[in-house]
Amino acid sequence: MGSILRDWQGFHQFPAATQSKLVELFAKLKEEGVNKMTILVMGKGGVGKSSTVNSLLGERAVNVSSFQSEGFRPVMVSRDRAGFTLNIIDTPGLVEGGYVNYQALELIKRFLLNKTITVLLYVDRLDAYRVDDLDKQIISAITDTFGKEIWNKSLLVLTHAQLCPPDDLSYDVFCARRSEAVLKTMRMGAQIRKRDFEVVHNDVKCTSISMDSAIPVGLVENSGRCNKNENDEKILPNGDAWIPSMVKEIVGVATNGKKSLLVDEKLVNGSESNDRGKIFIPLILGVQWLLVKWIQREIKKDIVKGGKYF
Amino acid sequence: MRSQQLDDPTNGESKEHDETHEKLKMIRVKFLRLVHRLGLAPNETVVAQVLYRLGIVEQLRGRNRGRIGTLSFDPASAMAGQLEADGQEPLDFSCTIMVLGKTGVGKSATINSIFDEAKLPTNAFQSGTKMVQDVVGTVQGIKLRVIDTPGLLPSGSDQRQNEKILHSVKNFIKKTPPDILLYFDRLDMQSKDFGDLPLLRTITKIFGPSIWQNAIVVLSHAASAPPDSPQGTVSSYDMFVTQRSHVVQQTIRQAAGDMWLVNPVSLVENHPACRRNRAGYRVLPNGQVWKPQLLLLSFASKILAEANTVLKVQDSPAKKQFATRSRAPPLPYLLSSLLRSRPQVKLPEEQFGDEDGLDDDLDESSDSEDESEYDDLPPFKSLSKA
Repeated sequence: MGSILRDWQGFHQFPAATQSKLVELFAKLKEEGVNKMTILVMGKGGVGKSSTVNSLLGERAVNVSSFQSEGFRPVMVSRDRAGFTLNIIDTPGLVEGGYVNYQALELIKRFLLNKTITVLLYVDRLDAYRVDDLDKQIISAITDTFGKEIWNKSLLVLTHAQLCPPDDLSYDVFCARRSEAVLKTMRMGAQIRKRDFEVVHNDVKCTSISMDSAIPVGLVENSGRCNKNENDEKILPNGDAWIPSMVKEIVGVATNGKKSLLVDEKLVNGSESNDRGKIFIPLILGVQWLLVKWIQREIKKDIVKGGKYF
Repeated sequence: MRSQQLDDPTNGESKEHDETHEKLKMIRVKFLRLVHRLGLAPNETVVAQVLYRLGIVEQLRGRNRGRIGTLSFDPASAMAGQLEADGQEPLDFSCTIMVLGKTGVGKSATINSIFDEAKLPTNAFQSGTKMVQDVVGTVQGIKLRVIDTPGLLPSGSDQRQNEKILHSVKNFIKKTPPDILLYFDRLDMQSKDFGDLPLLRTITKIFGPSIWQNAIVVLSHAASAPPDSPQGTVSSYDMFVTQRSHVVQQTIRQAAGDMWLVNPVSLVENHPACRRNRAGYRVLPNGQVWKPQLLLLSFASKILAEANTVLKVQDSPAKKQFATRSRAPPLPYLLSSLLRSRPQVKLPEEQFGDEDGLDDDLDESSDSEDESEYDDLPPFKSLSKA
């Protein structure tokens, strides 16, 4: 289920300032010998996955469904620019009727067969005030499907970032606390300890959010009402132009030195973690067989000996 | 509606009717005083609907068919105006409201807004309300008691937890049951695919399906801008509200197992930066001042219940007692049942999902009640034919 490789025309509708920043970032990728990048976008329904894909491409490449349920199939959009290929895969929401939608995960897994995922964008809303067990279950399901390594190549995306924080909190404090709440749940769901996966960034400052978390965070505002700066770039309430920042984070994860995730047949058909105890099986069988034999011998002996209790 | 003189009422009955008529008039006066205090006009839609219903219920339930030929309420209106102007007579009205909903949707924040002070703690990152508690206060001289409940969890696997919370709520309200339930959700969060159905089913399981007949849907964050339409333009605010309300109402219908249920919807915005009008009330993007509207809907239900009690007292020797239901049919149910001209059609099993016994019980009880109470319903033309 590939898609036609098209020229990235949406690139030219970005404001000039954004375009030049993006050109710089793609040049950096080229330096490292990377001329193709596949981004996988996953998350609950209604958080803004499709809108984010459209914003990053600068065109309406995928359908956004505000009120009805989303499409059931993953979609890959491919764009080519100056020899660099960008693939973005939009997926159906992972929650249905209050439960994790394992069927959707299966569909996504099969869709990704023989593709290499450079970066995973896990999308949630900045303006949600709670994280609950369902979020943890989604993360567990993703971890079970793709393996823990996927979190080495992932980025947390928080949408609806143009908000007025409640309870008199400042924007930066609100973002930091919200990110930390989501990241904590992600760590619990994937069973990663905070110090396990250290990602080294090229610059020290990624965003003004959390510097010591293993998974970087990107803020996004997809609506047409997003405020703009003097260069006509879409900006967040903290003044940051979010499209270049987001692409910078993505490039950072792509070049962080960890291996990209190849979705091969083994991964699609089952996990390999069951191999660990396999050598013990014949041993245990052997011991059991000996035990049964011994019990049988003892019973025979007893029959020969006794007879007084009948 | 044309009225006819039936049998000549005996003297005793006519005295009873006069008393009832008088009591109902006082209820109307009380209602109009409430409307006045909330700063609303008597010709507002909801007010007019309630007054109309009071008139209809009186005509149908009471035996006053021959005696009240008019639905004009000028004497009540004049009296209400005078009492308010005098400022002497205290308003004998109090209301108990209970709030339910997911965690983090704005229940405690709305209660704070209603009383205009921070009586309850709120938290943007974890549950603020940990136990059931009630808050008592007055709004424009009207006694109000609001029961705040801990937020419920939307995830399908957390319903055990929800049951525990709801049982504690049920214990709390045993002594003084609430007059109206406010079910909260956010306007700006689409729960697609009926994601909240497990939660609503749990509420139905603990409190019984009849709770939804006395419920108002409240959508918070109502000053949110609608999402961009697929064409990239901004879609209309009213469409946004309608579509979102529809999803919530439909989910409640599924959970309650009652396809005729139409719960009224009220909008709320608690953010301090929300636009205010000159009187200091928070205003929504459609120009509506939300607080009086919400309070009016809540009070209307209690007023109708009071009216029904008055009429029931008069009717009880003649008609059978409805032990299954302790509350009179409130606003949404009266509307839907008045417009119904056929007995309730049994819908196919699939539409109710896997809720077997619960739905069957509901259907049976409501059917029997309907037939006896609304036997004497004049035949209305169903709206589609008209």
